[in-house]
Amino acid sequence: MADSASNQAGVTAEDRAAKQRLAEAQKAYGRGKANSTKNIRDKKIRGTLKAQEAKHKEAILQAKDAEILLEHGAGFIEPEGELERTYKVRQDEIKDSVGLETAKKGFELRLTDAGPYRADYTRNGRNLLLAGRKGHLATMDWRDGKLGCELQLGETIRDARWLHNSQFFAVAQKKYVYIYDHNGVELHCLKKHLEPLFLEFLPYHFLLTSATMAGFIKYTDTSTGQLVTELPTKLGRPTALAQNPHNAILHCGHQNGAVTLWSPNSQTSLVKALVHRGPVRSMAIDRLGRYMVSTGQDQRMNIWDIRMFREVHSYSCFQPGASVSISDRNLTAVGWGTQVSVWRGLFDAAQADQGKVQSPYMAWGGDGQRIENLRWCPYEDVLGVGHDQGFASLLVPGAGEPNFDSLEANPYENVRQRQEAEVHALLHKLKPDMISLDPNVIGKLDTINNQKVQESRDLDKKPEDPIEKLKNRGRGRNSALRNYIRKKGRTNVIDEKRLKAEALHKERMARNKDKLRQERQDLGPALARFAKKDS
Amino acid sequence: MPRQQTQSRGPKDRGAPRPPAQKRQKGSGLDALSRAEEQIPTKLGVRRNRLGDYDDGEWRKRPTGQDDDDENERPIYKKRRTDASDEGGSDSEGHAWKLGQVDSDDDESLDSDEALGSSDEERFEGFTFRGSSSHTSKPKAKRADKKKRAGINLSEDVDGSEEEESGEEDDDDEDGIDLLTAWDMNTAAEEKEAKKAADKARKAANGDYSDEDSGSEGDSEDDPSDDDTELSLSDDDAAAQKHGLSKLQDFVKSMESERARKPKQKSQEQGTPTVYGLTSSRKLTVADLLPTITDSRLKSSLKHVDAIAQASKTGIPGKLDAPLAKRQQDKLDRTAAYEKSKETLDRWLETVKANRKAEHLTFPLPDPDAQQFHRLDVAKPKTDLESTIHDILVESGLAEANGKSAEDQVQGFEELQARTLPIEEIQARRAELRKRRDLLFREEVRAKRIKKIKSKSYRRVHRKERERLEQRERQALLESGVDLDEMERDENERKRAEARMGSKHRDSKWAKSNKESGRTAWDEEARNSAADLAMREEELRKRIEGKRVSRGDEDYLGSSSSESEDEDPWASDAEDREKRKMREQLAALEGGASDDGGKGAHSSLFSMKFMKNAEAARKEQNDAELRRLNRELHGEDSQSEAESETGRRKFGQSDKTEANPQAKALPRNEFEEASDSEDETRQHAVTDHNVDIIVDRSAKQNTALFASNTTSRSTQKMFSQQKEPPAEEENPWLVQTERNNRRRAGADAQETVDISLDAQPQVSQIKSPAKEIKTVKAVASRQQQEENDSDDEDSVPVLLKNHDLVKRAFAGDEVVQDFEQEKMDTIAEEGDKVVDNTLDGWGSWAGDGISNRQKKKQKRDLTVVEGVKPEKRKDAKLSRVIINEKRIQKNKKYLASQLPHEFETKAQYERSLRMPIGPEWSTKETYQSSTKPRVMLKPGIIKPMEKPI
Repeated sequence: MADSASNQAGVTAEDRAAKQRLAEAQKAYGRGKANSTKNIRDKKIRGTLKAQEAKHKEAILQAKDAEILLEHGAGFIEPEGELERTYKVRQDEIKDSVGLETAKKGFELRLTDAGPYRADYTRNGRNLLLAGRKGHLATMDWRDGKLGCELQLGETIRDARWLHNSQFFAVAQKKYVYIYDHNGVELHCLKKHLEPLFLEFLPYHFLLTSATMAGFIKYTDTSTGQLVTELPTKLGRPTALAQNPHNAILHCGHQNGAVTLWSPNSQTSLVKALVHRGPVRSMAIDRLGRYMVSTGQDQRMNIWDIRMFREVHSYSCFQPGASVSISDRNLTAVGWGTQVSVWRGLFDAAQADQGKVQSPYMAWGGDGQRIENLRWCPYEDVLGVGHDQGFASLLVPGAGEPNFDSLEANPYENVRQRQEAEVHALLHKLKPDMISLDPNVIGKLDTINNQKVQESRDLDKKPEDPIEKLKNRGRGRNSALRNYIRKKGRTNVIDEKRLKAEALHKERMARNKDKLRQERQDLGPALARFAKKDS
Repeated sequence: MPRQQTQSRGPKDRGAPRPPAQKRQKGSGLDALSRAEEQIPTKLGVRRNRLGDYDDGEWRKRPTGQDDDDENERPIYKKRRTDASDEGGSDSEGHAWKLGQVDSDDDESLDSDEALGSSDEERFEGFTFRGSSSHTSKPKAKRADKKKRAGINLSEDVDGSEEEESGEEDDDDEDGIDLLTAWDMNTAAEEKEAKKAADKARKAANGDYSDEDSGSEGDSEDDPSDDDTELSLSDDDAAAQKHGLSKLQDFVKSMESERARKPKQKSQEQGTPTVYGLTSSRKLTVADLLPTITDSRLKSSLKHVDAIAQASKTGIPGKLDAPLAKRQQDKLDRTAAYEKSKETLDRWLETVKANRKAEHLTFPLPDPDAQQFHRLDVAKPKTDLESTIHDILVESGLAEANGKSAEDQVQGFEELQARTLPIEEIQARRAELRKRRDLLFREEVRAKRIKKIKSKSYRRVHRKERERLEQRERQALLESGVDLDEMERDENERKRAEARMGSKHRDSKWAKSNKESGRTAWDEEARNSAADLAMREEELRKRIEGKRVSRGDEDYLGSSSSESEDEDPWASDAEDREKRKMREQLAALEGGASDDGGKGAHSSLFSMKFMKNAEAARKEQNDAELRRLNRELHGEDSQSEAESETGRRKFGQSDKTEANPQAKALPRNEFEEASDSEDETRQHAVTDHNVDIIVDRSAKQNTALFASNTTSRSTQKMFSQQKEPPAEEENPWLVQTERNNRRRAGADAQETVDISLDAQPQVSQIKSPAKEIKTVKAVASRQQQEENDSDDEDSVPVLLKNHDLVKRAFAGDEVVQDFEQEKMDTIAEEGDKVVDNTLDGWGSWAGDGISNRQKKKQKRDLTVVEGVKPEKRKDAKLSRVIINEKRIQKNKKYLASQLPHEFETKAQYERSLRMPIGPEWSTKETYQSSTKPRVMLKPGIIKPMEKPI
């Protein structure tokens, strides 16, 4: 008895460990509830689902085990005592206390001539793009301090963005959007994007989007060069543009304090929310697409849960926040006036239904440099701040994702890897049609009822005439019409369609003959034999 | 008919066609003995026992020259013989025959040499059939005839050929039994053959010619079957031949030795056939004729002959049982054959199932026999590095010097030990082991059985035990800081919530008893719990409505998170809301308490005076308590009210204002609703007092209340001002907490307001409560409130801080109104629409001169196009959001138009999609396993499976 008890205890201890491991794995990688197989009557489906669940379980356990490969941990500055405040820590103090290489990542560029600067990092965080309002443009490998190209466009620059890698970037200039390559050579001028104000690039769809002065949002596919859609916001000049990295939905801020959500598939906004009392100044959405932080002219910073579309918290600023950015590890940087403050745990607080966060995590500025733009550098604890005196790179411990996935973005990639990744990205490119509020919509069951389907069907639509379609397609030996006659016309059924097709074919033949004769005549007797038979 | 047969047979059969009719004729009629033999169970039983373990040698003695394979068909032909016994003058197949006449056609077709293929000839070179033309052509012909006649003779009744015909067909179907069945029949047939062979052998050994008749009968009985079976061998069992080839050769060898005796037997057969179908050599005895006698007198006289015959025939009864009807017999045979074939095929069932279920199949299939375990040698270090590592391992005791692990050593030792033991001992050990295993298995079976029959109560007890254990474990887990079953807990909570939601809780026994006994009236505990229940219910209701609820005890400071969308979105003072909530709770408490009073079963009891008194006293006490609480709240309220600069509602009476100018005008935050609920509470209070027994009318109390409020307010204010941290200004980050700053600002504001609002007319003071009540009733129609706000904003005297400035700055934009309007429009647009399909002049008059009355009379043809109902909209509870309800057509093509096959519910299907396959989301192993094809072909010859796994 005692033996069995001890045995049981041993088993439970083991079980407990396994259970714990499974629970952790489930939480991190589970992707929702499992399919319950208990109540399924049908044996076969039960079998398949069970097998699937077993596989899934195995997969998440393996994913959990693979965490061992995530060698870098993340941490924040922690105060030692109650009286210590992390926002009191200055940049030079941080630089003193970190390693030399890390300290080098914090720097400042004084560029006083070309007005407020906007900055952008590539997806792997390796390259930096600086665009001054007055036409100054520079790209650099900021860690090495190597300048890629430097241009003076002599035209107002409103925004600048990297495209899918460090080879191309788009600039919203005074009139149009231009695309340059890494050498600063102008490759394209997108004249459809008239008077662009903001740019966004959707990396998985290869869509360059701009919000224009006239209140349009325009999507251009950078892999094919086609303009995908133009969406009229009908709310006047937009004041902010941001993308939701989770579902590639664009958030557009407006003068009346509304934020509208756009996908290229709908001419009307998907959602319209009244977020601020005054014009929206800036927005940012966290990596998981759960929360949106927006600042407005009403001196507020609002945190919205964009799954439920309700405001969670509202903070007030001394001045309207000019720029917001959210890092990979959910540090939120807000630039207001000449200051930058970095908030930590805004979303955790919102999630836990706690009160607001009392004080920011980090602070910088107050030196008379008006903040224009903030960008977090991916995979680095670095915040890039564009201001009217140049650019500053700040060290913010714990901001970046410590472990990178080289299939996603590789900060240490070489040329071949970059090329490889480009090809892969192009092969995996998503269609613009796939963008929707719920990115998991693909493959889901359509629950619309039959009545609606019938309603949406156009009963007056004329049936398509196959011959008509063939008429103007493909000439020469293997034209579509010939193909049709060969394939369909062989049967002994003589109907209207066939007669039509044959008549058409005959006509075409006669025309060709005529043409040939004409050409022969033109060429003269000596050269007649060189006349082209098909053209 | 023969064609039919060939068609019905398998392709193999067609190779060497044979006329079954003749075959049948040949075998016909000689079944009497065989049937008799079959039907004597005692004898058979004995034989079987004796011959159960016959060996090859024994049955080789059999003189008939049959071989192993022939026996397959044997039972069938036996059956056939029985059928044939009924045969009359013409076969069902259209072949007619005459008695006592040899049909040359028949003879030819009988020729077994022809039946043999050329390849067969090679194989059976040394071997000839007895009846083959090459061997003894003449006797054979006669014999065939003889048999035929015998068959006819023995037939007792020449009846309808119809039945026969059908039987015939069945028979031929039987012929087409496939190989597998035939194999399976092998053993059964073999047994019989063996018995007969043994029989004959014995007879031959005895040289017992006294009962030669029976012997000859047996012979003749055997012979046709021999021929038949050999025929079948030649064509039917081409495949089986290969199998039984070796046996056949053995048999042929044995035949050689037995040849000597054969001519003797054959000589017996050489004779002219008699009317009774027997050769002259086969003497016809009386006993043979006995069964045909119908005359009873004759029968009795011949009894003694019968007895002799019986004695000589060793137990064959005088009169044979009538054979089963052919149809029945065939049915039985078919059933048996089916069973057999089924059994054979069933052996494959598991294999097929396993392969069907298998996730991956590799072809060519791995040979199960080839799975030999090669014991891996211990890796020897080859390179320098390896050897160094090995050395280190040896040094540290992780590996053995000779390269063997400890386990290997143990195993080796055991093997060595075993080698020294004598073989008997090892065997004994193994036997012991086997026995143990057997016992274990039996135990298992027993356990299973016991499990099956355990009682309900037993299970209950055990379940409880188990639950207890689980509980303990959970506790342990919790103590160790692991919270595993969060989900479980969630579920439990959910269940409880659902229970509370339903009427189960409300109508529970406890609640009912409370209500009936009126226990809540005097039992404080019961009252508290009832109130608690009510509160929870309320909370739950709110949750269901989509509001967020935070409990009073989970108060947090300084957060201005918006509690719910329904509240004024712009009011950012969380504090107010908190207070309001508290107040609501208080009100609820009040309401609950007052409600309890009058009702219940014991209301008569409560109406008695002393109870009333007690009740009143109690009530007063409670009220006092509530008042105190209210006062405190109000005090705080005034604090927060003082913060804001806009004045909207004014309370207090003129004389009081003079007494205490601060209390006169209570400036309110423009976006605040707090006062609504405040009013509500007061209303509650009023109603309470109405119900109350001790009536102290509201006016007086209110004034008193306000008086106390004001005083407390002032003290509170002082207190709060004292509390205010002076260092606040230094810390810019506390801006966002805002409350403190606001409070300070509010204090300032209050002072200014005090000055400015001194002269407010009293009318507003009277008006405002009424208005407030209205708004409460109209469930916060925000539009109106907004208007109120804007109205009230005129009276704001001073603008103080940045925030307020901003608020003011954007107040005139009417953004909210526009937004509301837009939302209304959207709702209308996407909602139900009425379409007027009326045609002018359709069913009524149209044109000039139609009076309006007539126009009105015309029936309108209206149809409603259904849209999204306002309450079903996704944004129905979100006042600041418009969510587009239109279907996005472009996304439609990525949706599944119907539930894919085999899934039963939507959830099943959609959940089955939740695991992404790509390498980006899973480990390499997972990815590979999930993308591995089901069937993999490797180069090589794919052979069919030889046997089930």
